[in-house]
Amino acid sequence: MNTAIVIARNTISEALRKKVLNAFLMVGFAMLVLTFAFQQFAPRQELTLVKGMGLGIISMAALLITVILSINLVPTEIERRTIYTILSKPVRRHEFLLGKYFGAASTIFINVGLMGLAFVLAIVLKQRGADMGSSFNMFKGIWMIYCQMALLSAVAIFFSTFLSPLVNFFLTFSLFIVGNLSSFTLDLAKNTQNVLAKGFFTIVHYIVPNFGNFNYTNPLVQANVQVKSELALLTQNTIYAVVYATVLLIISILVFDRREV
Amino acid sequence: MKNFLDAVRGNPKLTAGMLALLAVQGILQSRIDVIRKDPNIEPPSTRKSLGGLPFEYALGAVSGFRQVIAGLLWVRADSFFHSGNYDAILPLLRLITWLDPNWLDVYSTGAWHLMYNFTDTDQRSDRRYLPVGIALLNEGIEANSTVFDLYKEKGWNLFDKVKDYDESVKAYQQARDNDPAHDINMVEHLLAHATERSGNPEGAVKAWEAAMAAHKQRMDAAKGTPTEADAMSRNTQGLNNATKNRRMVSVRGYCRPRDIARLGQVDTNMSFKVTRVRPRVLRVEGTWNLVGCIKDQYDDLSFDDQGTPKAATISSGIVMDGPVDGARVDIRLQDAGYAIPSPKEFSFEVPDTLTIMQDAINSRGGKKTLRGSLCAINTGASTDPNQERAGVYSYKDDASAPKGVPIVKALAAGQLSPLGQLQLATLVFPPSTRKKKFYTQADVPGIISEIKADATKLKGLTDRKFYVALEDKLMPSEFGQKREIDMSKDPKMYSFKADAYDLILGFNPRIAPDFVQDRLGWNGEGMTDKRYLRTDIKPGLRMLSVKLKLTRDDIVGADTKVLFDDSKGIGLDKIQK
Repeated sequence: MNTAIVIARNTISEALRKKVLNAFLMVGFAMLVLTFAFQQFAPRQELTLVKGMGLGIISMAALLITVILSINLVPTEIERRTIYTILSKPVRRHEFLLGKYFGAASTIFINVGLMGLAFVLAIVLKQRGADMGSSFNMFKGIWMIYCQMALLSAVAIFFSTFLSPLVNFFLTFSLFIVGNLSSFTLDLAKNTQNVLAKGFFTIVHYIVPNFGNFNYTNPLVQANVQVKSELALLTQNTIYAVVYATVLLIISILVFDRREV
Repeated sequence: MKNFLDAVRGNPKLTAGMLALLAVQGILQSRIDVIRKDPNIEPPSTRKSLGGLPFEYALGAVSGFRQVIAGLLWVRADSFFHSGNYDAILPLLRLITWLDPNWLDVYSTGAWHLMYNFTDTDQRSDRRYLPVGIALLNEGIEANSTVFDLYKEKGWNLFDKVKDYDESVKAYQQARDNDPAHDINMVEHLLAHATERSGNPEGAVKAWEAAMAAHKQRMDAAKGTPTEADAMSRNTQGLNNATKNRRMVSVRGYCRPRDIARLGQVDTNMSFKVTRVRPRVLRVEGTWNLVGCIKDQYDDLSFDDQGTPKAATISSGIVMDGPVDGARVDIRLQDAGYAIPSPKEFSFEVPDTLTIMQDAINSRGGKKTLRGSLCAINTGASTDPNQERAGVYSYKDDASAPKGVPIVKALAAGQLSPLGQLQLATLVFPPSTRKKKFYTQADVPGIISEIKADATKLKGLTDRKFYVALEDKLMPSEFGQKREIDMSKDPKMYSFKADAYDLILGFNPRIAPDFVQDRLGWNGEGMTDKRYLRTDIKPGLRMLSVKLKLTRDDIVGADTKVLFDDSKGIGLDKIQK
């Protein structure tokens, strides 16, 4: 496990060397601009816009960082042939893969965390310190974005064990969109009369990673959208992300274990 | 694939663990589905809403960026609004409400925009958009049925714009019943106002009492909580307002029937004339007796804080009545037989062949001077609030004024009637200077003596041409004499494609201001009219209404033509029974 941690640290350092954190700077700047961009609206509308857009920008930036970072982690090592050096040492393949994943997840965590901090700070400033509770509530949305991206990173790493980065890019994005259709697939499964279609949509709903689970902007932005069991939902979503990412990593290990590199 | 299967076979424990975790995530997913659906965290992705969106928006919506796209579109809609490009806002409203059906401000602002901002050149609302605005609110209510906001918006639009108080009451009741955390000031106070306007004062009193109880309950619940100060401040103010309003409705509930019985019904004697001035330009003018309570001449002093009479026998409310300004006569021109539809679904397309024009014409200039009372002669309209409070009417010249004598002479000769003396006292020494709301006859002799002894005051009255009438003079209120209803400048709004039109002229006492209702009653109990009184339009309501059937040629014809004049018997066949 120590070996995986060492690889994870290296992955973080490499990502930081590639100036991945510049994305945070840009998003932070966008947050400041956003804070003053909608002053022509009534205060409630302005806050709705700032919160909705802010979480959206973080989500968008995190999505790009996650996909671009994760699809390249394994192929780059193979392309540069550095993987031979690593695997010739007492490093097992699954340790290498886990290290890469933890490195990516940590890099995403740092990025999303910093963007989230800038966002919450912008909201606090916007509200001049009033209603701190609702400002800090934004961290719930930011945590959900992180969980979503950690799962997406596992998807991209899984694909990267047997696909080229270009194909991986499109497949990961496609799966992200399909996974966001969770409520849609559930409705389709419920409403269709065709048994085959019902079975298909049910399988899609339960087997495809359900990224729609993590869309938590509505309750944070619209005061009228209340969640009855918020803690249960956030906890179950977090466990879901961990469980599904573990499943994907196990499959990745199984695939990568027998791959010729 | 072969390698993968080999790996699976070679790692049975890992494979079994993976399958077990896959099953766990399935169970977790089914539990998450339940929480996310009750209530819906994300708007239901119905095929209707997604199918209606352009591809790029649908893609954004299903990718989890609903709010971002909706926000950007809303910013765009706002810029269209500020540049006056109102038509461009409507498709955006459609997209935004599909993308983010929980965004309440979009529905409320959108409905306000539809119902108030589409106007013709003379700022008359385009009434074709009213059902559309209500449909938008209904759609919002369907998506947000557990919060009060959109019921409240619907209630207000029905109250203020459509003036359908019965429906407004229903909307406010839904706001109250569906959201226990509703804003009492915004919901229950307006519910009480709407109930009163719907001609139900007893119901209004009950609604105010319920609001008062709700304020008290909120204050009790807030004690010891961090929001106590805010809740106390807001609810104390609300409770005070509700208490005052409840008292006034009670006072009026007691006084209005008694005032009407004491003073008798007002014969409004409405008469009007419709002229086509130019093509698509009409003038609707007429006269009627519009009587109300004179400003500040309403006695509510004999009632306690609850609005209960302090004694078994007390005087009723109106101290002085007479012709007043301030009520309006409604004019509506529409395609023959048009009835406001109730669309199930919001669509921003309005029928471009439909013509509806609605206007409200001010009524003013009524005068009533009885023998022995005061009047004034001046060229301008009366601007002296004390003169208005005293019920002293101004005439523009001697010819139009009743015969009279200067006030000093009348005082010396004892020609002032009791009403004239009351008017003089109110005019010279306004009741507020004696810390009174109004004078009673008991106050008058002392004040008259003071006036007689004050040469400066007497000279002032003479200079301002105050007279004492030697005969009765009654002049009805007029409406529409200098007002042209010009529909020629807005052909898109007034297309006049139909062959026949209804011109509806009316006065609904439920819409009238309080001081008019004080005399005419909540439901028109205090008025009668030999020609135009109708009691069959709404149960319990007596209103003035007449519907004329006009042809397209009547409206778009070239020359000036009198289409209807009841005083000369012109066009009487156009009246629809």
